Amino acid sequence: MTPVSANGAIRNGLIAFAFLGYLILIGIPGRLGGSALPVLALVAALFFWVKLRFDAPDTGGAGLPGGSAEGKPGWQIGAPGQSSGRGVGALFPGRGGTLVLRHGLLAGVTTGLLIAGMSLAFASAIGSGASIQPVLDKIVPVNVGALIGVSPGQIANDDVPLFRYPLQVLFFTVAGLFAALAAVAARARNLQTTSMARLSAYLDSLPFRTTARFAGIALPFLLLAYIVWLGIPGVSAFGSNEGTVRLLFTLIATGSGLFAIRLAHPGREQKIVALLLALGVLTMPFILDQFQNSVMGLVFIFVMMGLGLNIVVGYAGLLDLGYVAFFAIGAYTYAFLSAPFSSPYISNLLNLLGISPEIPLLGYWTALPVAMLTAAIGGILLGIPVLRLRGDYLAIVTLGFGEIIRLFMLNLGELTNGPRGILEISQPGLFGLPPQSFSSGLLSSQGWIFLVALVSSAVVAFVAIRLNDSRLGRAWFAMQEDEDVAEATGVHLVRTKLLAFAIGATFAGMAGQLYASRQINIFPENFSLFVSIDALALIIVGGIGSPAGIVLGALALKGLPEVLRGVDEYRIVTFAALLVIMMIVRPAGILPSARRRVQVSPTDEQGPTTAAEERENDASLPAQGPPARPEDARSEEPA
Amino acid sequence: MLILDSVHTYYGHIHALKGISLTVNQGEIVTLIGSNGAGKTTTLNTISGVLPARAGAIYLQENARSGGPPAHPGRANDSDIRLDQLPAHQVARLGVSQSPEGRKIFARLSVQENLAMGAFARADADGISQDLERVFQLFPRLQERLSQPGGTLSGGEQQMLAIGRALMSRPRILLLDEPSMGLAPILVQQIFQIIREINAQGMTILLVEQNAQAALHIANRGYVLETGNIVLSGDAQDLLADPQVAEAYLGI
Ligand SMILES: Nc1ncnc2c1ncn2[C@@H]1O[C@H](COP(=O)(O)OP(=O)(O)OP(=O)(O)O)[C@@H](O)[C@H]1O
Ligand SMILES: [Mg+2]
Repeated sequence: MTPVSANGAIRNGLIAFAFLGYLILIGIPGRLGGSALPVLALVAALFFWVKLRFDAPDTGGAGLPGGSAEGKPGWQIGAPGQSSGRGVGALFPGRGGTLVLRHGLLAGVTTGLLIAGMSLAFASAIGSGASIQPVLDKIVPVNVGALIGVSPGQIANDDVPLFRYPLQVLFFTVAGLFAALAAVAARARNLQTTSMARLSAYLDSLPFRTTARFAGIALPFLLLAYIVWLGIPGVSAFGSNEGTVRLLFTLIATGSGLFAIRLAHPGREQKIVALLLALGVLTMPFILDQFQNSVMGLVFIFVMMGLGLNIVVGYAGLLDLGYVAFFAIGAYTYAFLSAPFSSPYISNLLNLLGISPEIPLLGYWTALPVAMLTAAIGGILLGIPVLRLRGDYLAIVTLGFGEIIRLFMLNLGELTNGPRGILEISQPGLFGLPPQSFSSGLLSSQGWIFLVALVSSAVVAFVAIRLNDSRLGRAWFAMQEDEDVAEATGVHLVRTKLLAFAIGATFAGMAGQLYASRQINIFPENFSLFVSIDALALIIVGGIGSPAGIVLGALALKGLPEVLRGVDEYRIVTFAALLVIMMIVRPAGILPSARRRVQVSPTDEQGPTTAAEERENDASLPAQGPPARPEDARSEEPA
Repeated sequence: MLILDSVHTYYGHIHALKGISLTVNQGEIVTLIGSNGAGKTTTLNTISGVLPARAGAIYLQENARSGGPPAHPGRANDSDIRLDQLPAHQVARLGVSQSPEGRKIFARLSVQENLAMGAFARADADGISQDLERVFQLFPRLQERLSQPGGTLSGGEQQMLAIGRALMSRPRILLLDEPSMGLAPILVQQIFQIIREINAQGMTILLVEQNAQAALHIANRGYVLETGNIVLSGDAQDLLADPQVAEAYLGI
């Protein structure tokens, strides 16, 4: 937050410079060549825009999440009202529009001066023949050259026209100016809230509102059609990136489909849109290629994981960081039942039971209940010792549990084949038909997995949604809010908690089994802590407690990185930046659940105990982010 | 109907209740008064099983459950149920319902869901909808706000919701912890009026209050609690007239 306006602007400039400096050091300008400077300026503008939109003086809830609007005296330098009336500031009457512009300009100049200074320093260092550290040697000359629009050779010859440096300053100043203008304009148009209800209302307010709404709804279908078209042999666009572009559009079509359902008028229109989308998504496995299908399959496996973890974390409020354990249990259970590797333990057991050990022991669908049950038992076994733990303690213990299971898989060589993993796990068949009959012709093998993942996630989503409104669901939410009171209304805490763990684990077991047959070969390394983190991150990004949000979260977290794979080293940086921006713009997740959107003000009538417990509840979800802004709660119609 | 027999409760090493004995008979309003930190909330939490009693016994009289008068009113006998041995959710299922201090409604659940949580242990759909009707008669305000999240209600509305939630379990005895806390004087009157109404419909009530004057006015009997001990008890009228009580709790 900005203590004084000028300081705040300079600080924003510094942050932008640090971020850009990082991009320069990792070699991005070199890649971009001649367009490096404009692209970096654009990145800076985007950053300024986000900062300005959320730092700026308040217009009803647009403050930084968690911070009060009054906490930014920087904007009150000129009394509000004084600054209006002139130039663009008039767009933003009485709310410091010119201050925003000044702030943007100052931040832009700061960044520009620093960038110019940096490139001047590097250029003169290289020009004077000073040797730079080996690591930098490789990157810096090219980069700096790209930044000032000359070749490294020219730098070495000290052949850089001086006006290049002011040009850099100018570029970033303009970036700051544009960002400020955009921020002011956005505010003036009252577009600062992005909640779907607002958007929906906004569309309705347009002169061609039916058209706009229709466009929003039509978008996913157009994209679907486009994906199909891109897949026709002989059609080509985007050169070598075509496969990636198609994947990206698939992700966007699926995600925007969920928004389209919300945009549609509740009732019949909504049902029709949902049905059409379901049909559209169901055709995807048939039209995508092997790579795209495999990514989508993984995305929907993680949708199941997210929905399951959401029951534990989102519904029951128990922070579980060892969720991968149940995923692993499901995967290994199916592996035991369907792969040629057989441990002596299992063969002995089979001999005892008088079953002849043929491979596979059970088909995919007959093994499914076994994997689910084993995972559920795992869930209960984890649940029992942690019943009394809450918040951070629970997180740590479950974290340990996840690792224990992985280490078991790694070290119980006789049972699990240790690090060599279990190979040749069979694929799902159907109605006695062998798996091969699905992985030919119409449907690729990954397409078949994607289809199974789609259907399984639909089942899981159905159960999760029904649970949300059930008696058990209410007991979970009540328990999450206040265990003592919930118990005093008759909730059996032990049973309720164990049910959450068991049902969550069951879903993970399903996901794990499908994952095993997707991978064909599984190794303990597939079940590291990062799987738990991914599952948790996707429900936080998507919106804790909301199934639609979880699908979006999985698309963004498991799908997008694959698209970005095309851009190589930029992948992680870009992805991280996207995540950060997302969490700033929508702190409660992309599509938060109605319950999460409720901002409950701690009323003063509540005793200190309640306040303390509120804090404790919040602590149990460290990354949940502050609840959404009040108007989100207000605009919570069943849109 | 409810009997506490020298109950001791501890918070770790802190001895909060030092042998409390009290009785609540069928159909009575009994009030428990005392200064801050005397142990009133602790007493209610011990009864409802949220806190364990370390010594002593709490009985729910068996016959009270079938509706008739107990065999030996005010005295424990063999057929009574020992509440102090049971976890809170079972105590709740036996018909002891608490409206806790500071309301503690489920902030993110809607008003309707909060009331449904009150009836959590019940399966009789007809009975539940009857009780819902009754709660709406007592608190028409709640009916207007059915789908609003509990946390967004005003303090007074939250109190109504807390009492409504407690009533939804169709309890045999209702424990009210400071129902008037933080309410405007006119609402305080209303709440006491409603408590009287609930009692007139046959509900047995154990009422904890800071507002001793109002509590003693509607109660049949009262107990005065001081640092974990009961120092005085008797008919509400007598307590009101007692100079000691008047000085310490009525602010006269
Ligand atoms: N969780 C706790 N841990 C330790 N001590 C506690 C705890 N809760 C209450 N106490 C102590 O037990 C004693 C009785 O507290 P209790 O809440 O029952 O008081 P009360 O009579 O309800 O007071 P008030 O009128 O202020 O609500 C107090 O001295 C208090 O400090
Ligand atoms: Mg108290």
